Amino acid sequence: MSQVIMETINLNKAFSLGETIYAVNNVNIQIMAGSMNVIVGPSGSGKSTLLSLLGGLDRPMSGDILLQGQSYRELNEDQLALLRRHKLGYVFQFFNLIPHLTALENVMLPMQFTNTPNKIAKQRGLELLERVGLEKRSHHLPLQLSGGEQQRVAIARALANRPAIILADEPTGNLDTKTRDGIVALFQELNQQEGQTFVMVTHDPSLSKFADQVITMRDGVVVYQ
Amino acid sequence: MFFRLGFINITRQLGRSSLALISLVLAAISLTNSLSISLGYPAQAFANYRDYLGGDIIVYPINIMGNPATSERLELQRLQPDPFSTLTTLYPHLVREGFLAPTNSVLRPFSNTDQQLLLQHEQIKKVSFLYRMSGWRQILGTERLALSLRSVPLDSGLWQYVEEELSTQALEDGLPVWLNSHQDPQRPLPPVGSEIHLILPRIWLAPDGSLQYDTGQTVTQRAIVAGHYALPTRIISWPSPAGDTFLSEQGYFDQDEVWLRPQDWDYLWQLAAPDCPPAAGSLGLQVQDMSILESVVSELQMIHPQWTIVSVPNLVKQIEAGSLLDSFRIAPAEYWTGRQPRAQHAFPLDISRTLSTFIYLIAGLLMAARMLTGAAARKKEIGILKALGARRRDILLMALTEAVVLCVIGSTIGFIISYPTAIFQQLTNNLPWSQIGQLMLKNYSLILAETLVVGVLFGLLPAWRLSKMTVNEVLRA
Repeated sequence: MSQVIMETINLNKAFSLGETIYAVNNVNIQIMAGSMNVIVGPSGSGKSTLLSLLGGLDRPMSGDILLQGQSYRELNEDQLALLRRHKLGYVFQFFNLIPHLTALENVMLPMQFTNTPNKIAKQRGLELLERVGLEKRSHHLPLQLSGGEQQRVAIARALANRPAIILADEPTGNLDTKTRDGIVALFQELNQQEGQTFVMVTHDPSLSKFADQVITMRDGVVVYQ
Repeated sequence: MFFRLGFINITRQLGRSSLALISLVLAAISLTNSLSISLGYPAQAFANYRDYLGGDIIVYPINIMGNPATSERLELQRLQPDPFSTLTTLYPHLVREGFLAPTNSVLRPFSNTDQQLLLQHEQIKKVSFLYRMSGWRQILGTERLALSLRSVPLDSGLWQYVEEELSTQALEDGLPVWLNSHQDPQRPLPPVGSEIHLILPRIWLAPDGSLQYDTGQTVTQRAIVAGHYALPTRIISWPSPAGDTFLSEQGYFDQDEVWLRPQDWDYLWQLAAPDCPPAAGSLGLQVQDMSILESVVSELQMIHPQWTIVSVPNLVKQIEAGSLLDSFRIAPAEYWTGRQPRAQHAFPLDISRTLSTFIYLIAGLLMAARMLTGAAARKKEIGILKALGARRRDILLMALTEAVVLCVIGSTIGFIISYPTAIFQQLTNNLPWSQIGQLMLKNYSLILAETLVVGVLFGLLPAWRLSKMTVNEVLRA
């Protein structure tokens, strides 16, 4: 856990709502390989915007992000898409599974983007579903799964291409307590046993408890790291 | 992968795809129909039919044709008793088979009042009485041949189809008649200058104003064959002897018909119906603007429900659809050597093309709606794919696959539903199967291409727009 895998350099993102509002204001953070990182802060503090920028889902106004030394600024949209495809996994608060694909097909999707042979993708998909405890639900559609199960599928999907970092936006924010504990345990297990790097936006103190780094934001600024 | 995803999207989201698919099917049906109806019917053939029938719109007594508002097809039994029907002249084989032979029947002819009523419509520029009567032709020593007699105005374009004609001096020897040169060896045609006899049923004027057509009593009139004519109809094709190409020839009406000049008609009518003035069995209306022909027909039919009113193009289509096809022959080439081509008539707007264009537009909008609406779900799906690493071209490939699959399925179903009618028409045109196959491929390619252009254009545009946005913009949109 000694190596910096991702860092931001004077990162800025502003929105113009009559006046210019900085959602992310001159943010400089570093993410170490294999670490669990949690971004906390009140609503509107810029946590999710920062995560979107880290995930290449949005473009910064200025500044840069480096992932394994690769500058986001140098990448065009297609190259950024390939970076997301190969090096990033993203877990959304509302799961964002493709509704007409089964759990297994959702998990296989990122692997098929990378032209992984179908047989291998299917095998890994089943392994990942087993890893998140859903091996018996592999052929169910998202609507046939509970919220916790859908989030597990989303986590399995994020792991599919063995990404350098998994970014998760309020991954337990839409779950009941019992389900949330299960998901937290899963993250912890993946982090501690497999050395998976996580950056999570959360209000959930149970996730912060085992974080290696807690980044606190307020008004777009990192106030504590 | 994105090709497969596009295919899965369609098969698993049939609800979302069905509207677009149905509209594509309808569009393909409409286009196939519009193509197949025009098969073998170039503008020239329509113009010929129009001239032959006496106007852009034909008005019949309702007991002759049935009401097109309630009957899609012409029915033979409704035609049987009518001695004045246009079909008598259009379908001589039915006459020969006894279906349309003159029978004792009643006809309420059109009057000057009817003419004035129709002329009140602002779109009608001319109303002509169309005179026809059934009778027999008898050449001395041979059997009678049922035929239709028709008065053809001298200013009608039909007279240019007369190929052989006696001199004016010779015409004074007897009542001049012009015979259709059908070239049927089974029905030898009397040469120009020969003498024939016309045998006509007696026509009586009943107290209620109707005409009683009585075949039990006849009158005979000696006539001189003043000329032959051949009236063009559809173009027919056949393979060349070498089999490497197709030859085409103009077809001609194959019918036993006699044309008379209007003044001769009056004379002949007085022989058959001495008690009543010449009575028209139908009216031909010329409209001001051919592009609104069908709407004028609809309007007139609403105003005058006591008649059957039909446009010439639709009459021809009805005849085709009703399998009441006229037989015709290829005239020998030497018959038409040196013949001057006639002026091209204005061609009535065929609304089926316009209709198919509109349906395609709707189908296209539904394709676009399919991408955009169910909107939140579709955008979210594209947003997720982008978040997982789909590039712009990947999204477009997926949308393209969906559009192509829908278009191929839609146009194929539409084509399969509607093209058998066209094949039937082509078979009755004596087209060989090899050419029918070629035409089918050509038409299917055309329909598929048009469907693909619309489907791909409207299917890709929304995807193009969404693919340009960042993931967050798409997910927020």
